[in-house]
Amino acid sequence: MKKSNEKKSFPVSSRKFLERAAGRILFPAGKNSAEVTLQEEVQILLRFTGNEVHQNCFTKRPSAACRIYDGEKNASAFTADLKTPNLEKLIPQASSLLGNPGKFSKPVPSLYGPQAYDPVNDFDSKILSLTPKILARNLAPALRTAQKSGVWLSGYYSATLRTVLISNSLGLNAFHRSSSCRIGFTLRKGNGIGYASAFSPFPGKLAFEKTFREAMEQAALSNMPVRLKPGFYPAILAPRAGAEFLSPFWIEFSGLKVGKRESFLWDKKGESCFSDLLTIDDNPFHPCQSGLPFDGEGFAKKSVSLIRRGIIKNFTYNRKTAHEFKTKPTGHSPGLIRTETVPVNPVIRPGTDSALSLLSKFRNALFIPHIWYHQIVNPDDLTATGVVKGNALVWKDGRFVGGARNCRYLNSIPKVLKNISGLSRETACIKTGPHGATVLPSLLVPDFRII
Amino acid sequence: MFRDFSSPGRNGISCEDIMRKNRRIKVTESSAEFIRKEQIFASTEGTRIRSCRVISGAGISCKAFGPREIQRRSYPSASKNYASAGYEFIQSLGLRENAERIRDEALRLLESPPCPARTFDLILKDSILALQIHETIGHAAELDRAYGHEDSFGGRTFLLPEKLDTLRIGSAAVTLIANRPEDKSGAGFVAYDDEGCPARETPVILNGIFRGCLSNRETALKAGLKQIGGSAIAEDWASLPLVRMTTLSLLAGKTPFRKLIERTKEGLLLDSEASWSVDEQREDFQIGAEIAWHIKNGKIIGAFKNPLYRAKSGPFWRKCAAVAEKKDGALFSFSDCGKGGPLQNAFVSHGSSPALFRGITCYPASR
Repeated sequence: MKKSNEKKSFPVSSRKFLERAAGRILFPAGKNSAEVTLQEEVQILLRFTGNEVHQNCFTKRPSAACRIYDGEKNASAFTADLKTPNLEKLIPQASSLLGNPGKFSKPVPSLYGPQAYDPVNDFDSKILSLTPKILARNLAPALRTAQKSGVWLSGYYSATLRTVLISNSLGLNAFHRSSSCRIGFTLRKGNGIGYASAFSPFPGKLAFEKTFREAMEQAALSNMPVRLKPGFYPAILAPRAGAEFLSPFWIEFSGLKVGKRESFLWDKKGESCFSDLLTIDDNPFHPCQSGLPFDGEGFAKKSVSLIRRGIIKNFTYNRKTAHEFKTKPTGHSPGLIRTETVPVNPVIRPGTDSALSLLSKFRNALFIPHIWYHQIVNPDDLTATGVVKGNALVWKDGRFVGGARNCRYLNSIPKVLKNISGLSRETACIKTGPHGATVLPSLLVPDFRII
Repeated sequence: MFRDFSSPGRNGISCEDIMRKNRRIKVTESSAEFIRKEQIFASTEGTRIRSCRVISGAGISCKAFGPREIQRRSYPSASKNYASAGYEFIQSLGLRENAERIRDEALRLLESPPCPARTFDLILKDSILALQIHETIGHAAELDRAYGHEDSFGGRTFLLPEKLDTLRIGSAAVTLIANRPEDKSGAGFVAYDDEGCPARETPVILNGIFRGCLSNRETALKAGLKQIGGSAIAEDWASLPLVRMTTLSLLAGKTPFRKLIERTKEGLLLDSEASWSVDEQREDFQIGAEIAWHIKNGKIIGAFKNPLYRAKSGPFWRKCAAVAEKKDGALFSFSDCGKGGPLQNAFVSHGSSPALFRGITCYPASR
């Protein structure tokens, strides 16, 4: 009995069930163009603090959203309840809104028909057998070690299964199921703080011990308080900090933003804007990536070159913006309602040196593991501010000498990308959203400004 | 209901028409949002609570384009304003009446110099003061942070329960109260929290002294508080309730708003939040505004663009010289207060009248 309960801890809906539900939603649309997105997220989450599990959480979130088109008019409706009567009401609900203003200012091309998708390898059926108990068992050695070592350990450990089905009235049927396991450790000892996190679609490959060791090591290295004067420092942005630092940058590639001249890249296509070490593709099919093989309208994704050796290569478009700016869609529709087409699977090509050997080129430097409250303060030159979370590790004369708390920085993202003088050979996949991740090495910035 | 925004209204002109009257205004946004939330809470303690709330919100913004620069102005805040009310709230905002003003201010910013790097007296008004309260007192007073429950997500706090009744966090002009019945029109206000506890009026800062924390059942018990704050809020039925603000308001003072300006020799009047960043202890912050009106010898003489100001939370609130009268104030509600992992968003409301802070470090967004 117990065993069968455990097996049901991920009660996922079958593809057949979701396809039937999509059919029920689309049926009342008749001859109108309509599209539907069904999503289901099932998650086990453990939050731990003070060396013990503090909260256990299990959630199953289904949702269905539809959009109907009548000439230039369109309207959408949403439900979190997948019972048949609710599904059948969705199109009529959306249709009742068609009388309101809300039409596109320009004609929208037809929906996409059936498509073939390249596979994204981010599902492992082993996740179906995970239970909160198993997660707690996996976590126990780390909590015990923390207790014995006299450190304060907190964080999260989650296993998530996501399913997406997009269908439309032209017969498109895009289905993807992905698994995702994440662990994050925050470890405190004295002044020292260590943050480390890991992600893997495959439960057995989550780097548990390595991540814990990394947090322990950072806490130990940053234990000695160091005061930093404002100024420019050579700094290594570890992959997590790098992904966080670049997060507001990707929207600059949105075709709509470029077309409206709101992006600072609007007149830069083909120009060399950044360090020639920098090559970036938006590619969900990279072996370290995780994401959907299609966009929010079911269009098949392909790898898109964004930057090649510092030169801006391409921008991103969906069905509507591609039509508006007379180009081809790139598979970047964010789905119903939203319009900005943001690259969600960036992959930055790594370098050849280790992060430590990049650091050892300098007498004084900083190692930044994690930042937060990172915000754009000037959209014209994409100047961003934020704070190093916990400590920046201070490197002096060939070794780490301590940690500097609460370092606030003020840096223009394009300037940082222009000045990058090294990339590590090690990369990490940093999960940045339900279907997004950034694969990147550590970034060496020779003149990172601390204020 | 949509005519105020995109199609001609009673007087034949909409917000969009007004804002787009100048060719350099190339991007405009007008939006309204209406939410009806029905909730049933039941617990094995015998609690049964049924609630139904209607929340309405709206806002407008425009962007003026220079040769290599974009300036934005918005109203009533950078991220709309909401209330527990219906369409009458949208009408009360006076969107059309403010569309021309923000258009002209956005254009004016293109010609304005950047904010100088120096110390100014600051007058914060409306949504930027609400944000200041939110980031540096509101989140800091959440008791789960004091116990490290948010260590991996929202961070910790400098307002620890052992400092209750002794720590001077602000000047005598500063009193902040959570869950005031007077704030029930705020979109963040709840009668009962998501653990079934009644929301109780809680003085957080009284005349500058730290007097209370925001708590749920677990943290109130741990801190030995006499009563539970009723501040356990979940984004939706599938999320764990977290300790978080519902409403937190700065009590009005007795100085008329115009007197605050007249009393300022060299200062900035900041309007509309543009950016915010705060450290994990909620101690060191930097906030940006859309516009800084330059005050000299008690008069507004010009405007600066891209202003930022930075301080430590305690010293900043201790520099509060005066808070304006109630009639000059407003209740602001944000829809996107994020906390927890996985991230949860919630409505939160802050009442405030404009306040004057002496000697604050300011600088331009790009240096």
